[in-house]
Amino acid sequence: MDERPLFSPAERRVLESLLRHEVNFMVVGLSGAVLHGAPVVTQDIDLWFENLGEPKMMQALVAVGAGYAPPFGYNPPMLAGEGTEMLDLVTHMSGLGSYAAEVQHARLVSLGDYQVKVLALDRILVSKVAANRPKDQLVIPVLRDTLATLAATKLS
Amino acid sequence: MELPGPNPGLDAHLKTGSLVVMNREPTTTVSPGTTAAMTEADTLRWAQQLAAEVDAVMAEHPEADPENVRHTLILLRESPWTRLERSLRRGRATPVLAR
Repeated sequence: MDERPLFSPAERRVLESLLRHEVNFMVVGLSGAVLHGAPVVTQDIDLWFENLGEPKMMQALVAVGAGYAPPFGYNPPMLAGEGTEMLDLVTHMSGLGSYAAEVQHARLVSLGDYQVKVLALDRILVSKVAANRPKDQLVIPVLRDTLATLAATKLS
Repeated sequence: MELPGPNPGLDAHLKTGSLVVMNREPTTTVSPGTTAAMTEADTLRWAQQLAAEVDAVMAEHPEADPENVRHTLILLRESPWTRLERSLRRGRATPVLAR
């Protein structure tokens, strides 16, 4: 298996710029669950921003040559530019409250020199149960077992 | 509250005797596939320690799938970056979870 780092320098720069500019966002979804230790796979990093398109966010993206494309037609809001390919924007989470309410449940995870907010695993599980799509049903038992493991090891 | 990478909580269990935890010092960390110089004794010790940790979790949560517990315990030894990179790499090779 190819064990080279998956993140390109450009992708790291985008994440680090968002953190350096103190943009309010948190990692959610399965990528968040992975950061908590869940043995699941995912294809993208889901980011939930408090205020999509806010000046700090725009400055952070411009600083690394990226941009924000607001929603239009059937297109959801998206990030554009080098290093944004694996980043998906989330505007709401099934079964959860507002960003302001849910960020209270966030944990800080160290990523390199920075700390990123990650939605609490039990809240990620709630969102997966609420969404209940086939791909959610596959991971719900795994997330429950991860929570049990963290609880037993006093890490939850 | 900060969620740690490598797992100090497990170390705490080691101190209390409720879990047996492997040594995670860089020179002695043993994890199949990650340490080229792993000896047979290292492998055995790693497996025994991991099994003890799984047993401890299962004792508290008998409804859990021990395989999920084992994989979680292994991942908790890795840094968050490493967990994420591995998940993304495998996710892109797993059509069933394609968006």
